[in-house]
Amino acid sequence: MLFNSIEFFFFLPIVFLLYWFVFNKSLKWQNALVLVASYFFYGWWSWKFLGLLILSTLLDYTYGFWVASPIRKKAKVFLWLSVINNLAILGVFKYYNFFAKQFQEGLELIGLHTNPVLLDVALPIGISFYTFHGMSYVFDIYRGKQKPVRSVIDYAVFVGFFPLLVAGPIERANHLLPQVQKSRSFNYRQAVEGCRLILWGLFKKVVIADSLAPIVDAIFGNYQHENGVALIVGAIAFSFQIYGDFSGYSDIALGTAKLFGFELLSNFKFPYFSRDLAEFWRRWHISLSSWFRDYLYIPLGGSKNGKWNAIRNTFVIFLVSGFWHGASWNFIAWGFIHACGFLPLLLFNRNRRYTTDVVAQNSFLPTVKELIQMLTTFTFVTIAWIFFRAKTLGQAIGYIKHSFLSIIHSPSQLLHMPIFNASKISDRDFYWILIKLSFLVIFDYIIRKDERSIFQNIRYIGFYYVVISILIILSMSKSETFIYFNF
Amino acid sequence: MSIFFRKIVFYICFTFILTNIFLWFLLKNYPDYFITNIRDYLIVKEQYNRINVSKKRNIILGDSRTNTGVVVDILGNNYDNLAIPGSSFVEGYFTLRYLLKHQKLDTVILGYGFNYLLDGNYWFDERTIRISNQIVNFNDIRQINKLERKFSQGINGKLDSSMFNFETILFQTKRNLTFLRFPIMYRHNFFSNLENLVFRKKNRLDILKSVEFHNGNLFYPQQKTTKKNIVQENNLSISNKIIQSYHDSLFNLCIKNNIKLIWFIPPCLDNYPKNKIEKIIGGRYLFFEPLVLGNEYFSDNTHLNRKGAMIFSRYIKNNLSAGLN
Repeated sequence: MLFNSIEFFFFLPIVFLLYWFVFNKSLKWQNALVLVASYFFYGWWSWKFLGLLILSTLLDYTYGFWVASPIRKKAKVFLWLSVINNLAILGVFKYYNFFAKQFQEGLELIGLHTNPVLLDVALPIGISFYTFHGMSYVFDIYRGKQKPVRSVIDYAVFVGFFPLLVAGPIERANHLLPQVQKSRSFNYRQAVEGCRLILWGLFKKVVIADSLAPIVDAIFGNYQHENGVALIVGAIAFSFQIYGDFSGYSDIALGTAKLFGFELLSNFKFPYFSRDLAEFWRRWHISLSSWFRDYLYIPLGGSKNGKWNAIRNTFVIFLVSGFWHGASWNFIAWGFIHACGFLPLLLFNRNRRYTTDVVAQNSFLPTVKELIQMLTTFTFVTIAWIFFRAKTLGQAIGYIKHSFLSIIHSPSQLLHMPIFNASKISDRDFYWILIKLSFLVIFDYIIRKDERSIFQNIRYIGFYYVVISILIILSMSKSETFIYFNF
Repeated sequence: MSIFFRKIVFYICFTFILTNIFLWFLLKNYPDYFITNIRDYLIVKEQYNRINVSKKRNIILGDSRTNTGVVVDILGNNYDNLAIPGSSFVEGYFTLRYLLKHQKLDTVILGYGFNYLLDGNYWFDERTIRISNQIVNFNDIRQINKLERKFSQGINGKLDSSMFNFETILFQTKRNLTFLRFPIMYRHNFFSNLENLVFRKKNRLDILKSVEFHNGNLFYPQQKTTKKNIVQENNLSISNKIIQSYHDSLFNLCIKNNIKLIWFIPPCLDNYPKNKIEKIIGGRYLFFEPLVLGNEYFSDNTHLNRKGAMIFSRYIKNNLSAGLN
């Protein structure tokens, strides 16, 4: 079920009403309802793969008890078994075909021809997210940060809570589980804030990202026939499409959770106003970055054992992060590019410059230096996004090469409006892109210091809500899936 | 809690009603821009108007390929080209039923692409439901809905694998509301339609100029296609039982009214699934395999240009005069 679908429009109020009016007498019943609703939400997409989610949940729930063993050796064995189990689930459903093909190609290099058996199954939605939930739970128990949960329902709610089930944020056991186990009462302010977040998330998804999708698809699909400026427009449009899509999803997830009395981890904090790549990663898909930091980077030694170890560990987490997004070389290349971008920051100890403040912290406009820093970071991230969006590594390289050569060949095109040769994008479509992107950027910039200030201090607030809602309804003619559902 | 609930319900209802009023105003005053896209509306509406005034006893029913491909002047002045772009045997049946209420017919020449019988028709919901409420009534829509639920298959060819045919029911609810002119169902392409209305009003004239209406024919600009026909046999793995059922109804209506029925499959660039079509027709009436014409006779990958239309029309005429009459 998609957040931007008619099914969800009926599903959410029904669950909400049952939760607060019928099952509000006991926490156990409320959690049971959330679990049933979450499984129904997931099963709506595929009942078959719901079994996989339940299996993964039960395995990690059981491992939780074994890993809690006071005998460290035994605990360690079970920890590794749990990791192997989770990675095996991911490996079979997400990575098997990739490795089989690479193996085949490797053998062909030495003249051996094989015909590997490939799996013809769809990627279970949210598999990367719920396996990471489970792994974080077992890791935290092993580290003594979390005690195993007795109630299987509570644990299953933690893994399968429907707002975060299919595309995050990736929650931590020590953050969400206490909320699952604590009785919740309706909080008017929290619920209103939830509704605002849902509305704003839908706006980013439906009005911004979905309208950019056909333009991006057209440009990436015909990149060989487009000139350099058009390809730059395509790459920038994708930067905002993925931001609108994923941060929109996260806002809806956070808002929905608030309606049920839960606070989820924040996933985005205006990443395109970052002044360097380190800041970008503290603002983009925060729950994943921090997951890799806590469960991979730090266990590998982090930056404690000298610069070279820090560099090695940085490359490891970025490459793994790329591979986490998809079993394809272009995702690995995307991770590698970000690791390379991180390298100068590490070498010159500049990676922790901007940890707390935001751009133009004490003024309205950024300084020239900040502006240049933001533009440089955005340019780097946008180039890397080309690898993320392209279907293959070759296409990504072709895209960049083609835009570069086109501009070298005819630099005067930079002074004119982009001409879209093959993508059938009119000047007016282009103006629409500019208007929408400007709106998003300006709005995000205004609220960059406090994201909770969305509309809070605006007069006639109801009027703005109504306008935004009408825009959402008019734009939502069909339910477009979310990009991160593919991961 | 109750304050929150009341506010939310009020807010949703208010927004919903306001959106509907806004769309209703636009639909009422600018139907050509908002019923569907302006090009589809103008071209298809022209043909529906033509059906209303047709008095000829020999008619041609078909889709856009026949509309652009059959020049009635070549066939003779007792023929009328009533082919509607995007229509299939379903609209053909409704059109014939509508015409028979007012007049007698001698010959019906069908000119539908074979693909409709096999993989369905996407345009039924995009055009027929939106534009043609003069020849289709709500009972017809209910009948189609019933068949779709029975076969777990949409008229557009999509199969429903969801529980309780939920996807079909949802889709049909939307269709019913669209047919009943429920404003919010017309938000599809709202922004591009609004943009056309505000910034490109001259588009209306451009569209009418870009296609030449000639005695029921549209002539697309003369151009040579370089593409292959999009209808390939290997795409057509599923038979569309709903459209086949309307094909049978159309055949029975002709038998009942003693009308001669012939099917000329419009020309294509490739081969077509002959055996599958013959099986569906079951030798009940005459049908002619598509002429396989070269790229120079097409204006795009499915529609004939003027040169191709002349050849196809003469081909029909020759066959008709060779004994079919």
